Amino acid sequence: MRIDAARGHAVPVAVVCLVILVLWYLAAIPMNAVVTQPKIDAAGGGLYNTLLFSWNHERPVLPAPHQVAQEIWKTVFMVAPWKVKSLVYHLWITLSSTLVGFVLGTLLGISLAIGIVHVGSLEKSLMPWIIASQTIPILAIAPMLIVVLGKTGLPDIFTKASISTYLCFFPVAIGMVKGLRSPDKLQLDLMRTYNASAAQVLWKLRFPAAMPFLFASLKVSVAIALTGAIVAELPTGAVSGIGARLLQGSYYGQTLQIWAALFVAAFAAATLVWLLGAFERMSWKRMGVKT
Amino acid sequence: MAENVITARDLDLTFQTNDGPVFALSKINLDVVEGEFVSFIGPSGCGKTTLLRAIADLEKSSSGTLIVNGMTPERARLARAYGYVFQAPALYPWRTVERNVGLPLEIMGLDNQAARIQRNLDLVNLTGFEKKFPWQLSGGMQQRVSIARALAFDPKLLLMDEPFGALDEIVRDKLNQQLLELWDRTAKTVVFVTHSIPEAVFLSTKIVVMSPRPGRIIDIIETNLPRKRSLDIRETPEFLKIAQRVREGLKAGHSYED
Amino acid sequence: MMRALITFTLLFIAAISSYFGFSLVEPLQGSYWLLSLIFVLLSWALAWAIGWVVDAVLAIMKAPIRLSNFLVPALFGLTIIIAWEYYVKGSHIPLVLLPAPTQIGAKFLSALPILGADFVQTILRAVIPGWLMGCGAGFLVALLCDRNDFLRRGLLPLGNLVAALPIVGVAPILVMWFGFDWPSKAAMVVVMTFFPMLINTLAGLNASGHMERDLMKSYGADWLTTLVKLRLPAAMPFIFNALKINSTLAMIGAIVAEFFGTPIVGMGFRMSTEVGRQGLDMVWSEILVAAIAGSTFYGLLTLSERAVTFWHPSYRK
Repeated sequence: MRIDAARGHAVPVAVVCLVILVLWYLAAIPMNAVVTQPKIDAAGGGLYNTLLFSWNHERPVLPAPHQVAQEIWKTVFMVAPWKVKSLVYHLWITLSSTLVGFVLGTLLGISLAIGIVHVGSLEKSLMPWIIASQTIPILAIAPMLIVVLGKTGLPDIFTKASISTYLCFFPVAIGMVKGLRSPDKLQLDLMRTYNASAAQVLWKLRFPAAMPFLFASLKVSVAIALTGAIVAELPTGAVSGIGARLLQGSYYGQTLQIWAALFVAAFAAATLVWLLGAFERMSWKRMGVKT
Repeated sequence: MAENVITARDLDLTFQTNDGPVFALSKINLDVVEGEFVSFIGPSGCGKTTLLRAIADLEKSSSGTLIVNGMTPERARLARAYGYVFQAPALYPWRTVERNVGLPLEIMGLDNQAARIQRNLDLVNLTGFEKKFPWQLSGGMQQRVSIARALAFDPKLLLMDEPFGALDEIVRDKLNQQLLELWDRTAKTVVFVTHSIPEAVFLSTKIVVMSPRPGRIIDIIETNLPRKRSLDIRETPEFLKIAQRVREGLKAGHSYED
Repeated sequence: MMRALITFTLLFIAAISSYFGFSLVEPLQGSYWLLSLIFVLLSWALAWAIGWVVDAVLAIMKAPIRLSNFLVPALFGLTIIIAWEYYVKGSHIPLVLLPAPTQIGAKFLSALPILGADFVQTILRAVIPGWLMGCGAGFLVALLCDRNDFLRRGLLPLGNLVAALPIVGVAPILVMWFGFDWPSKAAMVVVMTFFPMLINTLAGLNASGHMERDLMKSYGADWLTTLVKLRLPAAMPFIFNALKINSTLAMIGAIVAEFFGTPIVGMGFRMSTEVGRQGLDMVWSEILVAAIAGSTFYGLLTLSERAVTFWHPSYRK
C-alpha cells in the first residue's frame, strides 16, 4: 500500500542523508585546514578551536552545512526579493528564461514530431541530424550562440531562452515521435474502419497514447532547460541570474555565495520536476490510469 | 520397492496480501512414487502451481511437512535434485541453443558437458540446431530446448508447470507424445501441472484433482492405461471414463462456478 | 520507371536553374533571406527526389541496401551547408557574426596544432578518464546497492533527484578543490556521469525476468553466479544506454568546467576566449572538433553495443 511504500523509502533516505551530513561536517575539518590552521594555532590549538574555526570560516574551502543554510537564509529571507542582493531576484531572472525556453522548446518539439510522423520525407532528412546533433555538446557552444544572438538586438531573455529552447526541443521531439508512433496496429486499424481523417487519428488516438512519453521527456527537458539558462549566463559576464552569481562567487572567492546559489538552483530544479510530476498525476487521474 | 520421491503431509501455504490472507494450499496430503507420471489439474487459483513451486523450494510452506528425495525442499534444491520447466521457455537470448542447454552444467561444474548436451538435444529431436539462437526457433522448439535443459544434468525428478500451455493444439499433441516417449525411455519421475483434462489423462499414471478457495486435493485417480500409448487412446471408453471422473472431481470442487 | 525518369529530369532542371538563378540575382541587394529559403527548399526537394528515385531503382534491382536512407540526409545536410555559404557570402555577413563554411574550413586546417593541443587537454585528459571513472564508480555502487537493499532504497531516490539538478553548477567548486588544470575537469565529468550510470545499472539489474531468476534458484546458484550468467547480460542494454548518454554528458561537463578556469589550453577555454576576441571561425573549428570527437565516441559505443546486445528484440526487423 502507499503508506508501506513510503515507509520503505523514507527511513533509508533519511539515514543516507544523515550519513552524508555527518561526513560533510567531518570532511570540512581537513579540507579547510589550509586556511584555518594558522587561526587554530594562534588560538592555541585543541579540539574546540579546531571545530570552531573549521566550521565558521568566512571563506572556507568547504563550508559547513549550517554556514550554507545561514547564507541562504540571509540572501533569500532577509532581503527584499526585488533587490539585487536577493537570491530570489537572481533565481527569478534565471527561471524566467528557463520557462520561456521550455515552453518554446516544447511547442517546437511537438510540432516537429507531428510533422515527422505524418510526412515521411521530413523524417528521412531530419531525424538522422537530430540524433547526430545529440552528440555535440550543445552547452559548450552556448557562449558563441549568446554573443551572436545578442548582436541581433533581441531582448536578453530571448537570447538566453534560445539555449534552453534548443536543449528542450530534442528530447521532446524524439519522445513525442516515439509516443505518436506507439499505438498498436490493431488500434490504428480500428480508426481506418471508421474512415477517420489523419487529424482525428492524431487527436483521438496518437496524442493520448503519447502522453507517458511526453511527460517523461518534459521532466528531463525542464531540468536541462534550467541548466541551459544557467550556462547561458556565463559567457556574457552577466551580472544577474544564478549563473552570474556562480561566476562572481568563483572570481571573488566567495565560496558561500557559490554554495548558496547552487542549493537554491537545485531546489528550483527539484520543484519544477515535482510540479510536472503532480501535473502528470492529475492527467493520469483524468485518463483513468491505474496509479 | 519403489521409493517415495515426494511426500506431503498436512501441507499448508498461506500468502499474506494487502487484501488479507490467501489460503493457497490447505491440508495437502500426497505421495509420489519413483517412476510415476503425476498430473496436477484444476482451475486457476487452485494451488497447483503453488504446490509445484513449494516442491521446488521456490515458495516456502507455512506449516506441515514436505519431503523431496528424503530431504527438505531447500536441501533438495541445493543438491540439484530436480529439473524445472516453466510455462515459457525462459531461454537466455544471448546464448545459442547448445549453450542454453549447457547452462546448468556450467553452474554445477559437471564434466562431459558436450556429450550431455548432444544427448539431450537428441532426446528432444533437435539435433542440428545447436548453433541457433532462441529467437530463430518456433515456440514449440524453444520449449523443447527448455526440456532438454531441464534434463541436461540428469535429475531424477522433473517438475513441469504448464509447459505446453502457450502452444497450439497440433503442436501440443506432438509434444505430448514426445514427452511420453521420453519419460518411458529415461524412467524419470515427472510432476506435471496442467489445466487440460485430455492432456492430464493422456500423460499420467496418477491424476491429482485440485480445487480453489482454499487450494486442496479433491481426488487422486490412478489411471491404468498401458504405459506405451498413442494419441488414438483418447477415443477409447476407458480414457473417457477417467476424464469423466476428473470432470466430476472438478465439479465437486466448485471449479465450474464463478 | 517512367515516373522516376520524368521526376528526376524535372527536378534536375529545377536544380540547375536555381543555381544559375542565384548567380544572376547576386548583384541585387536585400531579400537574400527569401532567395536562400527558396534555394534550400528546391535543393531539399531535389534531394528527396533523388532519394526516391534511387530507392525506386534499387527496388527494381532488388538491392539489399537502403541507400536512400543515407543519401537523403546526407544531401540535405550538404544543401544546408551550400545555402549557408551562399547566404553568408551573398549578404556580406561579417566574420564576427557568422563565418562561411569555407572560412571555417580554412581556419580549421591552419589551426590544427592548436586544435590538437586543445583536443588532448580536454578529451584525452579530462573526458575519457573522467568517463571511465564515473561510469566505473556508478557501476560498482549499483552492485553494492543490489547486494544491500537498505542502501538501494536510500540511494536511488537521491540519485533520481541529483540527476535532475543543474550539476554544472558544481564546476566552480571543483575548480576550487582540484585546481585549474585537468583534474578538476575530470572530476566534473565523474560527478556528471556517476548518477545516470547508477540509475541505469540498477534498472538493468532488475530487467531479468522472474522465470529466468527462478531457474537460477532451481540450480542452487549463488548471487555471484546469477549476476554473471544472467543479470549482467540482461542488464547490458540499460548499461549501454547509460554509457552513451554519459559520453555526451562527459563532453559537456569537461568543456563547461573550463569556462570556470583553466590553463591556457583546452576546448572550452579556446571557445570562450575566441568569443571574446571575436574569432568566431576558430570557435566553429573547435565545435567541429567537438562534433567529430563526440560522434566518434558515440559511434564506437553504438558498435560495441551492437556486438554485445545483438540478441535484443530491437535489432530484429
